[in-house]
Amino acid sequence: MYQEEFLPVVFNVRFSSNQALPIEKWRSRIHDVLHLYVDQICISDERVIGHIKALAQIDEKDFIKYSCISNSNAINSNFHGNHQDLFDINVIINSLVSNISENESRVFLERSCQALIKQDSGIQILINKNLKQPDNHHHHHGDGDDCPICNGYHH
Amino acid sequence: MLLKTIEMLSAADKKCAIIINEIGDVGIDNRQMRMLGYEVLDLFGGCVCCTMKVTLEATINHLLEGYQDLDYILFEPSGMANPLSMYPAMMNCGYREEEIQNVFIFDPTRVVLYEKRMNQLFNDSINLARCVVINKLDEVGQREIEEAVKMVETIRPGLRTFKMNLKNELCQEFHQYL
Repeated sequence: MYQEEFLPVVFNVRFSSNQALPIEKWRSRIHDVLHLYVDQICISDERVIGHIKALAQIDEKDFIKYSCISNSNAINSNFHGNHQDLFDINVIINSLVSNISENESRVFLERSCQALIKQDSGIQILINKNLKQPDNHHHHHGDGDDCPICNGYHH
Repeated sequence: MLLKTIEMLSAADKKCAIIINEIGDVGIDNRQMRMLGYEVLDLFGGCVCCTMKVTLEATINHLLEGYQDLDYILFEPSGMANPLSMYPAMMNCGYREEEIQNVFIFDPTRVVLYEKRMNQLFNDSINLARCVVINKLDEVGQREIEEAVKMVETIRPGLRTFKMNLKNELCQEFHQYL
């Protein structure tokens, strides 16, 4: 019922470094980026965070999951797996916030990444174009094709 | 909460399926579940074009046809979705209202959000809930917890309420209640 009010935006972000860094350092750096991103979102009282989630994929089984569900800016993170040193790490960020455009959200994330790069010059960050996004006006299946879930009966 | 419930049911040799409605949640929770070793079917496929009712009904029917020995279907909707809109789908699949064990997980850091922005969702959720779990006790003060309890009591006096920090284990009381 609130889906129309909250805009889902997905970013695929690649963090890399010239030297292999321990997981805890990556965890902290990604947390810093998310913290700055949430801070900028919360500047306007009009914006409400439905959730901001991120999954840092270490390998097939290991990950760090981040979650923020309020403007109080508490970001929880959970690490699952074995400690190791990594040159790079891929992070999917899913942001569901009201009263924000996709472009604004992207600008906030870019600024947050830039701030981290200034602070730690050994780290590079690349924001890839959005992953597949839910869209109220398009189907994940081809236009004209039946929905594979309900075989088109909802139309 | 969901993972802990699955672990509890699994330990009791119960077979369960999980439906996660990831509106705006492309590929986060399902990837996490896969990485934890669970079999995940992308039935929703990130699609929000279908109405909640039709999609949920089709998903439940798909599970019932494909996995006839299921003991439980656990459904975690998006926090933005009103549970009232999901009951018709479950009942169309043959479930009676009393068979739907609706647990409302109340995050007390969201007290103001529920009071000011999502009051209708909160009211409907409490009115449909079999019980309420007030979570994240470690992240809020006593005042917020009391406010959360009061909000529930105002709508449904006497509704069973559990206070837990879901980072820890499910409390024994809740374990028995389930």
